[in-house]
Order: sequence, then C-alpha cells, then structure tokens
Amino acid sequence: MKPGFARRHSMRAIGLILLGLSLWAGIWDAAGAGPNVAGDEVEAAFDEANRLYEQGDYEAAAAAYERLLGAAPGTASLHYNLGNAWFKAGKVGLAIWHYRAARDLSPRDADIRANLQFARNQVGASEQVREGRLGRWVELLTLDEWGLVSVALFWCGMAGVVVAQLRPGNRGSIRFWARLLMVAWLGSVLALGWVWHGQRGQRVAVVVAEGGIRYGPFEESQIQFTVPGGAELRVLDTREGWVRVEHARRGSGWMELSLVRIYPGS
Amino acid sequence: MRTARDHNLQPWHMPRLARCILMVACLCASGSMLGAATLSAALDRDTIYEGETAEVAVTVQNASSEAAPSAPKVENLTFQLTSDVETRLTIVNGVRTSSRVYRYVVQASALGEYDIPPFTLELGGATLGTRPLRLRVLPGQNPTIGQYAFLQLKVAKQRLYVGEGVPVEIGVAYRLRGSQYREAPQLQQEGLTMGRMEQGERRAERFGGIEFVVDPFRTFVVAARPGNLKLGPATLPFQLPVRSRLGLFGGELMSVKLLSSTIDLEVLPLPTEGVPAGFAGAVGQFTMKVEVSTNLVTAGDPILVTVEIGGVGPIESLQLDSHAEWEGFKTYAPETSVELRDPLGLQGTKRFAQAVIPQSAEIKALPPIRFSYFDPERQSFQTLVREAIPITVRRGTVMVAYQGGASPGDPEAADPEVAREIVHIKTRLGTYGAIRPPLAMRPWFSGLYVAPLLVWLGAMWWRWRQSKLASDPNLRRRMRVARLVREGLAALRQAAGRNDTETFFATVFRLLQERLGERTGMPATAIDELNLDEALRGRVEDELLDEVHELFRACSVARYAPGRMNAALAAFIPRVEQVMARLEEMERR
Repeated sequence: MKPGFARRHSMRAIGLILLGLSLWAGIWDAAGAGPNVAGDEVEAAFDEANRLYEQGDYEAAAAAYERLLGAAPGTASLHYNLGNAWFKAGKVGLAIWHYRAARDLSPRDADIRANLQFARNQVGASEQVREGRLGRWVELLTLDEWGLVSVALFWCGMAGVVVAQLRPGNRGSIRFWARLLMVAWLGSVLALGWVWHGQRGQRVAVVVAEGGIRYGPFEESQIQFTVPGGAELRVLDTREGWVRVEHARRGSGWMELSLVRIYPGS
Repeated sequence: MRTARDHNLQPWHMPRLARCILMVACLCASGSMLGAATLSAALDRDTIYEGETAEVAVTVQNASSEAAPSAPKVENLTFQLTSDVETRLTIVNGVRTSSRVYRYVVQASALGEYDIPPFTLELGGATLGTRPLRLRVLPGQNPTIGQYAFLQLKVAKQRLYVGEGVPVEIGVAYRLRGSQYREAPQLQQEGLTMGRMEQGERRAERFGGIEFVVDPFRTFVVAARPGNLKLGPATLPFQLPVRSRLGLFGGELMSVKLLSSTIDLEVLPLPTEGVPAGFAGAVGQFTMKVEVSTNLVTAGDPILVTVEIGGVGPIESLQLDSHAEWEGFKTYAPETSVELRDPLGLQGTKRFAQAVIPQSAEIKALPPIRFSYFDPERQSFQTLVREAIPITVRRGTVMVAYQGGASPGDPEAADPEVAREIVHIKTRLGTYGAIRPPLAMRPWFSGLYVAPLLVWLGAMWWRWRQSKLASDPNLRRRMRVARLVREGLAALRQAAGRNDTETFFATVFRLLQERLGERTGMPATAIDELNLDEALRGRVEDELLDEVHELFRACSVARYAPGRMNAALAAFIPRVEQVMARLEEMERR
C-alpha cells in the first residue's frame, strides 16, 4: 500500500459525503419551492396598479396592490409600492408598515430604506422604535441569509477541525483558523437570533390612525398621551380588541387594536 | 148575408185557417229562400313582389254562426286575420241575403308560386270550403311602386384602394303623403366594411319632372380586399298609402320593400414595394403632432407622450407604427381618444397618450416617433417622423440623500432635508414564491449542522485507530498478515485458474511464512520446513503440524522439481485455507 493512501482515501470519502449532503439539501429545498417568476396575470395586475399610481389615484392603487398581496406574497417590490401608495394617500402608518415588510424581505435595498426613513421623519424621531447602530448593520442580511452564513461558517470551522484530526503535523495553524471560524460561527448565530427576534419575536404596533394610549383596556380609561399615525410602539400584550404597547419615551399603556397594525402580524 | 154564390173559390176568399196555413208556409219558404250557407274567397291580387302583402277576402253567406273561417296552413305563407269584418244584408226580389266578409293579410317569406288550399268553416256538422287560390311572389321591386317611392344609391368614387374610406349615400325618395318607414336602409357590402350610418337633412328633389322628398342616409365603406366588388343593393321595408275603395289615397298602408341598384367598385391593392417598417394599414391623408409633458425627469418618473394623428381617412381605426424603439423605457399601453369633424368618422383626430418611464439616467432622448400611411391621391406611402426629443433624466432622490460620506446601509446618516420626496415606485414585481418558513426552521437545516459533526466524529475515530496501531506493532503485524492472507488466497485462485504452478506454490510458501512468523513472533523469512517442529511442537496438534509439513514439502517440490508436481492446484486451496484458519487460532507467543 502506498504511503498516505489511507489518509487521501479518507479525505476523499469525507469530501464526497459533504458534497452529497449539499446536493441532497438543495434538491430537497428546491422540491418544495414555489413559482420562481411572477406569472403574466400577476405582472399585468401589478402594471395596472402602477398605472393607477402614475395617474395619481393613490387609494385605488393601494387597493390594487393589496389585492395582489395574496397572489404574490413575499415580494419586496409589492410592499414597497404599497407603502408609496399609502404614503401618497396620507396614511403614513400603513406606509411605514409596508416599508418595514419590504425592508425585511430586501434589507439592502436603498430605496426601501430611504423611503422608510423619509416616512419616519414625517412622524418624528421620538415616535420610532429605536434600533441600535449594530442592529442596523446586522439587519443588512435577511433571516435566510444569516442562516446560510451560519451554516457555511460552521462547515468551514468543522472542516478545519477535521483536517486538524487528520493532519496532526499541521495541527497548530489549522486549529487557529478552525477556532477563528467557530467564533465567527457563534457570532453569526447571535446575529441570526437578533434578526429573528427583530422580525418574528418582537412585535411592533404601527399606529395607522392617531389615537390615545390609555391606562387600561377600556374605553372609559383615561388617556395618558396621544400618538400620531405612523408611530411605532413595542407590543407587550394583547387582549380582545386592545393591545398593550410601549412608547420609546413616554411609557406603556393600552391602545385600541383598530388603531394599529401589528408587525409582523397579529 | 153571405150566400153560397159568395163562397166562390177565389184565392182571396180562402177560409181563414187556410190563409194562416199559407202564410206560415210562405214564411218558411222565405226563410229557406235565404239560401244555403256558402263560403267563398278571393285574392285582391294574385301577383305580389318580394316584401309586399296580399289580401284574401273570405265571404260567409247565410250562415248563422259568427265564427271566422279557418285559414289553411301553407309553408312560407302566413295569414293574419284583420279586425276589419264587414257585415251585409241584402234583399233582392224578396230574397234576403246576409253575408260576413273576413279579410286576411297574406305575407310570403320566400319567392315562388303558392297554391292556397280552401279556407274552411264548420257549420251545423258540415264543413264548408272555398275554392283553391293561387298566389305568385316575384323578386325585386314592384315597378309600379317606383312611381311613388324608391332608393337611390350613390358613392363618391368607384375606384379605390384597399383600406381607403369612401363616402356612400342612400337616398330614400318618396312623394306620397303618409308614406312611412321605421328603420334605416340596409346596405349589402360584400368584401367591404361599413362605417356608422347617419341620417342627413331632408331635401326636395325632382326626378322625371316630379318632385320627391328625399331622406339621405350617409355612411362610408372601406374595402377589405382588392378586386371587383359590388356595393348594394340597399333595401328598406316601406309602407305606401293605398287607394281606398273610393279611389283616394287614404289611411290604409301597403307594405313594400324598396330596392336600390348596385354599384360596381374597382378595389386596387396597396403597393407591395416600399412599404415602410411599422406600417399599420392607414390609408388617407394625415398629419401628426407630438407633445411631451416634460423634458426634465427623475429616473423612474413618467413622461406623458401625446401623439395626435389628424386628417381624412378611417380615423377610429388608426394605429401608431408598431416599430417603436422604447429600449430603456418602461411603457404602458397608450390611452386613445377620437375627435371627429364629420359624423361619418372619415375626418378628425385620434390622440394617443402614452406614459413612458426612463429607467436610468443614461437615457438622453425619447426615440423618434413614426406614423406611416398610404396616400391614395399621391398613390404612394408617406411617413411622418418626429425626431428624437432630448430629455434630461436625473438620478433617483436617494442618491442625493447619500452624499457626504454616509455609509450605504445607514440611512439615519442621510440628511432628511435633502430628500424632498419619496423615491418613486418600482416597475418590476420581481420573483416571488409561496410563503415558507425561514431556512433555520426547516427540518433539513438541522441536518446541515449534524453532518459536519458526524464527519468530525468519524475523523476522531480514525485518529484514535491510527494511534492505537502506531503503539501496538503486534496488532499492526496481525492486521497486515490478515490482509496478506486474504489477498494471497485470492491470488492462489487466480494462479490455479491459470495453472501457474510456480506462482501458486510461491504464494503458498509466503503465506505460510507470514502466518507462522506472526504467530511465533519470528521474522517471516526465518520460517521454513526445517524449523517447523521447533516453532510449533507442543503448540499445535500433530495433525496440523503434519499438514503444514506437507504444504512446505509441496512448495519445495514445486520449486525444485516442477516436473514431478502433477497434482491439481485447486485441490490445495481448501487445505491452505484450513491451515491458515487453524494457525490463526493458535495462541501467539
């Protein structure tokens, strides 16, 4: 037997196993994928809604975009255009809600971020849910993208660990890179959790119509303070017809559910 | 006192009883002298023209019943009983005659000659019938009618091109007061398309010295194919007042069908050479005007381009050239509007308003706009061109907001006062799919973490095995010898198959050396037949020792005296296998 044959054979086998797993995962995922390209009818309806927007009929355009949400879910462009239509129609709260949805689907789109910020500026900085600088950078990737990054880092780190096992002579340098990659992987998992919490774990109530924050979930309860349309409040609790929210600066209270739209969904 | 002489037999001198009887008899006779009931029918005319009606008068005489006679059933003929029932009672020479006249209007739906069966009437258990009648229905218009009403068909020209609109007038001319018609004339136009029909102002016109009233109906036709085509005839259901029984034109109307003459048209095909690209079939004389809403726009904002095509020709069917070059623009289907200058639709303006959206700041001009048409007067194609219109496309507002070194992912660093408006909508929907859970929540995602762990565990196990092998030379030797034995036995089978005696026994010899060396702790090369007893006596059964001797002896014979080795090689293989297995069980020293 030639020297090193066993090692090369083992590494070749490991590589084939990893390649096979990757292909299997990709095929499995692709098999469950939905339509990849917008159908002609949906495109035509989208164009018609755009036409209404161009003609200045923003309410009608918004209604047309809303009808498309069922046919073309998860489309950043649709939420973005819907946000524009609501903004032009004077409904800043709904516009911010849809800009947020568009941003979560396409976090690096400069137009979406600009319009979201523009809409928020109309409401006022004090009415926004504060996002830290680190959070803004973390949210440049979507949930799925962070998932892929964490898997890739884990694989690279584990590959380094495996190679260190198989090549004890180079263990020192390999171990250093393997550890570095595992640390990066831990960071990616934290980022994944952060984005998850921001998009799914933490709910935000976007005020669609100006209303009062009350002490209790009753119409008879006294109003503590009023928030404008477009304000973003953290959701703490919900009861039938009421939601308990927290304002960034003014405290918490109860608001009628009909005055808000909860993101990412009630 | 009356005597017997006074009772002469003079009629007027009949006894009273006899006079009564005679009177009754006369009355009865007078009743019977009304005659038997009779039924008769007569046509007012036995020849009519297409679209006209005739009248059947059915007379019932001396009938006590007032029931109307039954009309016969004839294919393509309809009989309509009118409400005009005439009752007569005549006494001639003491004979009374009562009669009722029923009038039926007969209408034919097809040309031809018809035998009309008898009209019938059930009367006192008997059936009365008329004699059969004959009616002829001829094509065309009753020439007599033309003295009172006719249709006149006129066309502007009889030589035209395919797609060219030509005005047509149908004049309804009549001179009798009380003439009526309820619809516009119908025009047969095979191979031609007809435009809308408009009624013009009534006028008076003299034909053959007689003044007629003319109601003009105007339209236009467009030839759809070349060749010799016929226009017409035009037809119109018309009602003419008829002469009454007193000889005057009264309130009764007669239904007729007016027919015009036909006109031959020569339709020329459009030339096939020199047809402009994008020509959409317009024929006539036209002008074009183009306007844009703005020359300065931000990328993604729309520009409204308005094209007005005006002139003479079928305006409503005009289309812009299909050869538009809107590369780099997002376009929407144009909205159209038509303004006609004449009621026929042959003169006017058609407006096309189209929103186009430049997609990038690199675009410097709107592309040229062309409209091609064929001019029948010049008999050639013409193309109207509006050359490229320069425009300035600014970049989107977001770029202004990112000046000053702000990072692209940090919109809070943007100066909000610089952004004066939201960025425009997106024109592409993009890709989408069914809502699915995030990757991290899908079942196979966990597998992506498990797989490297499994590989790592496998590597660890392999590393541990390598270490163990490195620290135990006996184990290494044992594993090596076991592999050698497996490979050697396979080589023996191959050599036996080739009947290669030399190789066969050389391999047997080597296998015995390796196995015995490994079991005894001696170098393999030190093992031979001479020191077998020393190595194995007391450790293996004598039978096994003898067998090993036999194998060694056979190897020696094969090596030194191959001519004497005539045993079948395959028979040795089971013996070698058995020896190898039994030696492996031997306790190692």
